[in-house]
Amino acid sequence: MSEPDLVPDSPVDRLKVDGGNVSSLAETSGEPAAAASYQAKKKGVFFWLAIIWLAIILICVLFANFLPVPEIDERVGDIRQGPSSENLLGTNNLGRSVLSQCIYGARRSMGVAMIATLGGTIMGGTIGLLAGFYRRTIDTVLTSIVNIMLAIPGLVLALALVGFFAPSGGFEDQRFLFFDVSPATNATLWTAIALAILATPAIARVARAQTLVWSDREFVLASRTIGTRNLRIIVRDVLPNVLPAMASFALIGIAALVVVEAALAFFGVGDVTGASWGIAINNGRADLEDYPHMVLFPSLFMFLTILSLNYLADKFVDLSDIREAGV
Amino acid sequence: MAAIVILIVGWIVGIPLSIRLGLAFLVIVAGAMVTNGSYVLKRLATLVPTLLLVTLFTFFLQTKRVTPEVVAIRVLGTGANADAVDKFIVENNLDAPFLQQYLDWLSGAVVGDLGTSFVNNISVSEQIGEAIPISLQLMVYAQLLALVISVPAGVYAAYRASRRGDAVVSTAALGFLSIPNFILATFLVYILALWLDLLPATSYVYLHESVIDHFKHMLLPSVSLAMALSATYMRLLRGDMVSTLQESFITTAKAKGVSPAKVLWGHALRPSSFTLLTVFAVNSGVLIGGALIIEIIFIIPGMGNKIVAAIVGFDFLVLQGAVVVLAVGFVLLNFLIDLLYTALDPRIRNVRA
Amino acid sequence: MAGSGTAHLRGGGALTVEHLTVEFPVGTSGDKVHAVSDVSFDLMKGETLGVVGESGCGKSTTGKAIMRVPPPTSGSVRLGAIDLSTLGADQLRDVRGRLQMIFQDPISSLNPRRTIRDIVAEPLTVRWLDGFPRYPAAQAWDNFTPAMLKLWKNKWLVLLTKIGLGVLLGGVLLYVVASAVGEPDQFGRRDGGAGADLANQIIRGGGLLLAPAAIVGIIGSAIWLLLVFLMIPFKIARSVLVAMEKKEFAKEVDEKVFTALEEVGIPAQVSMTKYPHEFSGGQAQRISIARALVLDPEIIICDEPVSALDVSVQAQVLNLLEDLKASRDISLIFIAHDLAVVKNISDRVVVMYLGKVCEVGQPDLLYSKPRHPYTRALMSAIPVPDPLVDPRSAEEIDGELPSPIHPPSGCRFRTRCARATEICSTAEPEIAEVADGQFVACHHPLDEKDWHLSERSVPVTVSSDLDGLLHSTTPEAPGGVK
Repeated sequence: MSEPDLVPDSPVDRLKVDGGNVSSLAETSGEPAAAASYQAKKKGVFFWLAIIWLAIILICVLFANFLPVPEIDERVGDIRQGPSSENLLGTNNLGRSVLSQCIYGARRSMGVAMIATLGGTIMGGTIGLLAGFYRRTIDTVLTSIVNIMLAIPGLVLALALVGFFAPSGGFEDQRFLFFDVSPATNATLWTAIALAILATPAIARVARAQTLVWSDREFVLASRTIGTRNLRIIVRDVLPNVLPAMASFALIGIAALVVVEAALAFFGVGDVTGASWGIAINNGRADLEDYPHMVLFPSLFMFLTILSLNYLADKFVDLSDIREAGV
Repeated sequence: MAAIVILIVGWIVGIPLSIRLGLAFLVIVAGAMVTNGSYVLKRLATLVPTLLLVTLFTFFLQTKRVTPEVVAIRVLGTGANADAVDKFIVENNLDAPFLQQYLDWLSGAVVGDLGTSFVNNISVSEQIGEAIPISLQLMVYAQLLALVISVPAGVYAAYRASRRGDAVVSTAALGFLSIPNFILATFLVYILALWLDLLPATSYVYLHESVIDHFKHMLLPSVSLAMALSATYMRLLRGDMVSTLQESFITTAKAKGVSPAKVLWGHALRPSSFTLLTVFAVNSGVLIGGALIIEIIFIIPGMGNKIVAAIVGFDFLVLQGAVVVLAVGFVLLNFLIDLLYTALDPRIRNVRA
Repeated sequence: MAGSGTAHLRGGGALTVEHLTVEFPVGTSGDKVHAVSDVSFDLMKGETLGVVGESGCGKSTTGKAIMRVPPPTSGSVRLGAIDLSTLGADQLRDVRGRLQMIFQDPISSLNPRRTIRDIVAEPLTVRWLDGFPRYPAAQAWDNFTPAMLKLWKNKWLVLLTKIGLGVLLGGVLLYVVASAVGEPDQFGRRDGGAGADLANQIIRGGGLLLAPAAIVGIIGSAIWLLLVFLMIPFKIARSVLVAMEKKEFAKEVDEKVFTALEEVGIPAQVSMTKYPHEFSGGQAQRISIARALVLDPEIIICDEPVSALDVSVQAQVLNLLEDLKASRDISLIFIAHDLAVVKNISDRVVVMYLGKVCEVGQPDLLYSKPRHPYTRALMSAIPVPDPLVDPRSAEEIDGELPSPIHPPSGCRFRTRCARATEICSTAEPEIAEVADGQFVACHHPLDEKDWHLSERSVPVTVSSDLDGLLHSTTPEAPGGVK
C-alpha cells in the first residue's frame, strides 16, 4: 500500500457497527457473537494494572487503620526527612510519615469522592431517568433546574456550597443530622454532600440523554403494549441500558471530584486539618525547593488513581459499546 | 469579527474592560439577531430568568451561611461589644428580610455597584475590576495554547488511528488528562523555575509594564492550565474525525485523487469540529475553576486570590461579588457560544426551535 | 381519496376501529401533525387484514393507536363488544392480553440486557405481579396522581401562574430600575423612592397571584412524599410475598415460555438463558412472536414484521404467522409497505394515504381492478419478474408526500392525482361500495377502461418469487444457537 488507509479499524469503527446491530455476526459465525466481539476487545495488561491500583486504594480507604503503617498523627522521626528504609516515603514538616499521609489521605480524598459520586449518581440518575422517560412538563422543569446548576462554574459552586454548609471555625461539636460530630467531620461530611450536588447535574444530563435514546426503542413500546407499569419499564427496560453510560461517567466523576476535593484544600475551605492528598500537597508546597518528596508522593498517588479511573472509564466505553452522551 | 475589533480598539483607546465586553456582547447578539432573530429572542427570554435565579442562588448561599452576628464579630474582632455589633448589622443592612437584601443588592449590581467591602472599605466592583482582566488573560492564553496543541495532535491521531502514532498521542493525552493542573503546576515550577531557573516561579507583571516579562510570567501558569484542556480537545477531535473519515464524501474525495493532507485539513476538519466547539464553551467552567487554583499557586492577583482572601477574611460581599461575576460571565459566554454555534450549523436552529 | 366514512364496515368483527384520529402537537406553535384522520375498518375473526401505504401514511401510527401507545386523539377501538377507550388503566391491563403487537425492528424489540426467558415471560410476569393486591398507599397514589395532575394542568391555574410570574418579574425589574437610578446612601443602600414602593406592591401582588399554584404544588408534593414513605414498608412486605411465591410461578412460566419458543421454531432448551444479540434478525422476530403468543391473544397487530429481514427469512416468518393463525385461530392486522407480501397473506386490504383510507377490498380485486388512482399507482410499482415488461412503463406518482401538518383540503391525494378536478379540493370523498366487497373513497374512481393501462401488473405473477419461498416451509436454520 503506497498510501496510508484513511479508514482505520478503530474502536470507534466497531462502535458504529455494533451500534446498529450485532446480528450480522451471529448469522455468519457459528459461535455466539458476544464471545467474538469480546475477544476482539482485549482488556490488556494496563486494564489489570489499573484494577490492581484501584483495589489497593480501596483497601487504603476501607482499612487504613489496620495497615502496618504509623498512625496518621504519630511523630515517626525528624521533620522533612527524605525517603529512607525506616520511613519509606520520608517525613513531612511535622515529622509524620508521608506514606501514612498518602494512605490516610486516600481514605479522605477517595472516600469523599466516592460517596459524593454515588450520591450524585443516584440523584442525577433519578432526575435524568424521570426527565428522559416522562418528557414534556417533567422534562422541562427538571432540565431547567439542571441547567441553572450547570450555569455556575463547578469549582465556584463547590466553594459556595462548602462555604455554606460547613462554615469554618469553632471547635465545639456540631450537629450533623441527628449526630453530634467534630467540626472537622462535619466539614468533611458536608463537603461530600456539596460535591454530590456538584456531580448531580452532569450525571443527570448523561442519564437523560441515554434515556431519551433507549426509551424510544421498540422494546419499551412492546412493554407498554403488554400493560407494564411505567415504574417497571424504567427499572427493568431503561435503567439497565442506561447504567453502563452512567457507570462510565461515574468513574470520570470520581476522578474529577478527587481533584475538586483537593482544590478545596488550596482555597482553605472545608476541613483543612485532617489528612487528604490535597492538604498534603498544599502543605508541602512551602518546602518544594528543598524537600520535593513531600509533594511528590501524594501527587503520585493522586495521579495514578485518576489515571486508572480515566483509563477504566475509556475501556468501559469500549467494552460496553457506548459512546459518551453529552459532555 | 466586529466584536473583536471593539475589544482591541477599545483596549488601545483605553475604554474600561466592562464596557468593551458589554459592547462586544451587544454586537454579537445584534449580528445573530440579523441572521436568526426568533431563536435569539427565545434564548434572550430565558437568559434573564436564568441570571436572576443564578444570582439569587449564590446570594442565598453567601448571606445565609452564617448569622449577621457572626459576620459582625468576624469583621469587628472577637472583642467587639454588643452595641458595635448591632450598629454594624444595621449599617450593612444585614437585618433586612432576605429578599429585600437581594433586591437592594441587585439594584446596585445592575449599575455595576456590588457594594463595599466590610474589611477594607474598597468598592467590590473596583476590586473585581482589577482582578478579572488578569484571570481572563490567563484563561485566553490557556485556551489558545490548548487549541494550538490539540488540533494538530487530534488530526494526526485520527489520521494514524489505531497505529503507533495514534497510540503515542492518545496515551499522552490520557496521561495529561489525569494530571490535576495544580500538580502539573507544582512540578513545572519545581523543574523549570526552582531547579533549572529558566522562568520565574511566581508573581505577575502587567502587559503594559513589560511585554516580555509578562509572557515569561504567564507561560508556566498557561501551560499548566492548557495541558489537560488540550488533552480533552484532542480526544474529542480525534473521535469525531475518525468517524468523519469513514463518511462517503471523504471516500469520494480520496477517489478523486485529493491529497491526504488536503482531505484531512480541507475536507474532514470542519465537519469534525462541532463537538469541539461545544466543549470549548462548556469547558470554560472547568477553565474558570482551574484558573482560580493556578492563580493561587503562582500568586497571580486574579479572581482566585481575591476569593481566597475573601474566604479567609470573611469578606462576604467580595466573595458574593466574585461568585456572581464568574457565574454571570459563564452564563453569558455559554449564550454567546450557542449563538455562534447556530451561525455555524444551521441545522441546530430547527432542532432547538 | 383520502376518504372518511364507514360504509365498508361489516359489523360484528373481532376488532372494530371507527373514526380513529391521531394528532401530535408540533413544538409550541399549536400546529399538529395529522398522522391518522378519521380512519375506520374492522377485522373479522380468523381474518388477516393488510394495511398498505407509503412511508408516512400513518399505517404504523394506526397500529400503535389501536394498542393505545399512545392512545388515539379521538375515535373508538372496540375489541369484540368492549370499547377500549372507556376502560380504566387496570381494566385495560386485563384486556391487553387479548391484543398483541409485533414491531418492525426485531433487534430493537428485545431488551438487550434481559435473557430470552425473561423477555418472553414478561407479559406473564406483569400479569402475575398485577395479581398481588395493590397495597393501600399505592392505591392512594394511583388515585391521587391523576387528580393532582389534572389540577396542575387546570387552564386557569396555569394562566394565573403565568400572569403571576410575569407580574413578579416585572415588579423585580421595576424595583431594580427604580433603585438603580437612585443615589446610594453612606452605607451603599439605594432608595428607589416611589418607584420602589410601587414595585414592592407589584411584587406582593405577583406573589399573591402565585399563591394558589404554590399551595397546590406544596400540598401535592407533600402528599406524594408522604405516600412514597408510606409505600416503602408495603413495598418490602410485598416483595417478601412475591419472593415466596416466585419459585412456583417460575416453574409454571418456564413451561409456557418453553412451549411458546418451540412453537415459533426457536430451540428453547438452549435459548432461554441467552441474550438477544446472540440471535439473528429472523430469530429475534420469532422471539417477539413468542412473546406475543404467551398470553394467548385473539388478535396480533404486525407492524412491518418482515421489512427489516432478508427476503429468504421473510418467507419463513410469514409462513410461521400463517401457521399460527391457522393453529391458534388468531386474527392478524398486517401493516406493511411491501405490497407483494401483503397480497399473499391478506384476506382483505386497506390502502392508506396521508392518514386516510383510500380503498378497501380483497387483495386480488385491488391488484387486478384497482378503483382508486393511488391504488393503481401503488400496484404498478410492484416489479414484475417478466423480461418482456418494460419497467419504465410503471406508473409513477408525481411529487412528494404533502406535509401531514397542513394536509391538502378535500381529497388528500388530489395534489398528486392526474384525475383531480375542482370538486376534489372542496369536498372530501366518502367511502362507497363500487363492486362487491370493494370500497373506494374517490370522486373519480377508475373503471374498466382504465384497467388496461395497468395490464402490466399481471396479478398472479406479481410475487411468484415469494410464492415459491412461501411453500418451502423449512424453518430458518438456528445459526446463532448451538
